[in-house]
Amino acid sequence: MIFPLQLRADSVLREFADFQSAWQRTAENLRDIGEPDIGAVPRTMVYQEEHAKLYRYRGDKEPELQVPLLVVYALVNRPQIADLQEHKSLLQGLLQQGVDVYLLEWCDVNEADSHLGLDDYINGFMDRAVDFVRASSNQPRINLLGICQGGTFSICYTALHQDKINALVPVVAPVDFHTPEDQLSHVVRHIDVELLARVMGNVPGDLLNWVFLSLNPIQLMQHKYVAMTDIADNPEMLENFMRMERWIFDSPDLAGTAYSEFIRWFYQQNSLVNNSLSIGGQPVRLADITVPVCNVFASADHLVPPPSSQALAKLVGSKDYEEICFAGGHVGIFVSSRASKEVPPAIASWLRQH
Amino acid sequence: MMHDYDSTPYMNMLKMQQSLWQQWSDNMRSSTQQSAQPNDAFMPFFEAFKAASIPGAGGNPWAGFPQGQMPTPLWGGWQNQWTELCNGFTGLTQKFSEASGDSAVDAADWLPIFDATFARLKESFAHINAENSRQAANMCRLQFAGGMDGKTAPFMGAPKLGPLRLQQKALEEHLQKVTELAECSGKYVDYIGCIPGKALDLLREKLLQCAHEDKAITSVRELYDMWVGCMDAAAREVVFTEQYPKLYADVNNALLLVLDGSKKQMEAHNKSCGQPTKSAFDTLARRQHLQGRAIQLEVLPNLGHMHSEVKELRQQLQEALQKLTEQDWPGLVAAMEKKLDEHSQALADMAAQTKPSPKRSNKAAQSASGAAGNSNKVKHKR
Repeated sequence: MIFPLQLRADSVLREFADFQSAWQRTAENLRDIGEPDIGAVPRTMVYQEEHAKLYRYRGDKEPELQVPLLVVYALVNRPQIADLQEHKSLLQGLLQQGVDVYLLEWCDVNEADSHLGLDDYINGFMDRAVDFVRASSNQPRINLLGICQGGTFSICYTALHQDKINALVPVVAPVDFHTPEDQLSHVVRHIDVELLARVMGNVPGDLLNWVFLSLNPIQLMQHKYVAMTDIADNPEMLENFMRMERWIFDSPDLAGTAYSEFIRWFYQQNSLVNNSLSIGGQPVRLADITVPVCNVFASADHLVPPPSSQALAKLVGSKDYEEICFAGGHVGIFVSSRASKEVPPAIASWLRQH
Repeated sequence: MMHDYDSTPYMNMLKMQQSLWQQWSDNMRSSTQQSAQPNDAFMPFFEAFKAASIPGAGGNPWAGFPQGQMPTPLWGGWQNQWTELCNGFTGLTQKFSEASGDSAVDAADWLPIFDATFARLKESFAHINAENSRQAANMCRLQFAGGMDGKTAPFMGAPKLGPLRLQQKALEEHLQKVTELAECSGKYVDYIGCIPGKALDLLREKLLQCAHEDKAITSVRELYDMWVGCMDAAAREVVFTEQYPKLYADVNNALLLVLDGSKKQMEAHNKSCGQPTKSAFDTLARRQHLQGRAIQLEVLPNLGHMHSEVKELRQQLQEALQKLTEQDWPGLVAAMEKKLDEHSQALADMAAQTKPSPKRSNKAAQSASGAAGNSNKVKHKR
């Protein structure tokens, strides 16, 4: 049994000196990089409301799939993670596979919007966007892909408006909010969200960001920046790092009512699984979903643990249900080079069959 | 104008620290090379370090260090705890460095020191935790409640005349909420304070595992990465306890109640001054929201029909435009000319056929010549 810490004093000091030097070079290079651009694919706004914008993405080739795909993102953070940069873009990958891609982007809310609830988002903005895509593509039913919370929205929407949906693709979407590994759910279990919404009006994006960071505090708030010095001399990787930083810390505020409803109904009451959810006075029953479903999740997701997404399998009424599990985390599934090569072809291939 | 980032205090500090580390490292290396016994070469530095940081030895434990590396004693009572912690690290570092470079060192020699050092570090963390907890509770009390005692006492002790009774009651309720927040904060900080201790236990286990597997940690970075993993694992363990979400919620809910109380006081103040209040704006926003939804529900069904009609009209317009665009205009003109020629010819023929015979009246003859004249006019126009 050897002594486990073979740290020579001179090498330790040299390591500190090297670290300082790397930190200095990192700071200098980051200053030169400035603020990197986000987005790889040109897009056109085709429909707009006060609280939502619908974009159509244009790839290098004409769409091959007749049925268009509407992508719906979460209310937290921005949907640019699905189109971060060249070769790290889910949307670009889908376009290359011949999918006709639309994206519904939520607009920032102000104090007067704190009354917007899930009914407004799901039965209002989403429904009208779906109708627009149906009308402009001359298709009675379209494909729906929801990311994270947007995935949960998409599942609810499909349960309520199934006649408008051809196939459903939830991506890293939570369904069962009470799985043992769900740290976020565990933490917010006893928070008085109604009081929070009443006191704060809208919930600040920075507050939510802090909650997400506090799930892995040392890793995300300290170690990440120490490890950044490993790429001190690689401007391209530093630029990617900065791009991610820009995305992470650009978090919009959430309408207070929508936030409190989501936390209470989903995280605290787990009503989607308990079959007790009702949106806009209409019951949301997963068993009502009979359209084909392709459930996509990440094996190392710390925000939405795989069992939370996989719960859909037993609850959904569809006989055509498929799961695709990718190696990676909640964000890695969109931005890692490996995921960019694997995820879009897999989704497009499944859509082609439906 | 671009800011000269290289000469900012931050970058200067980085450069200075870097040069210090390099200088120390070079000194170490040169003394190692000069020394007959390599292990001895480490000692002067660490002996000085150790001598400077023996508990109770008095004096500034950081006196042996260049000023650039001095921690500023900003934390008041925490400084002593910090020094204690540093002493723990110092002892550990010295023992580790004594053992470094001699992989054959017997576990019996280092294991007791290793365990004792970890125990001491844990004790230091516990001290810091207790201090943190006390500070967290005091911070709220001092900042909000306790600090106001001197100012609020005369007000609270005044005879409860007129509206004063309600105002005193409001203040008392607010102070009560602040006190609750202070207590909740103290309990929460106390509870999560066990995380570093648990992380130390995990680190110790991992290092012993390395020792058993004859693996050595040879860089600070490796040790740091291991420590980060242990801290996050320990934090996860604490978060997933049954108590944690309750304590976390208690702090947040208590804080929200304090904010709620402040908001209510602000509302009352604004109201008494005739100023618009937040709740009034909220009511307006709520009404507007409901009206908007009602309009949507009424209009949307019709909107669908309108969309269809617009779509149909657009289609018709498109088709008409398409036809116009595709029309062969020169051909059309030629065809029209041809038709006009044919008509003219037909008229001329008709005129010729109806030439006034001796039996025909002059009137008929005039009519025929008029028609021919018109025909010429058209031709001329063309």
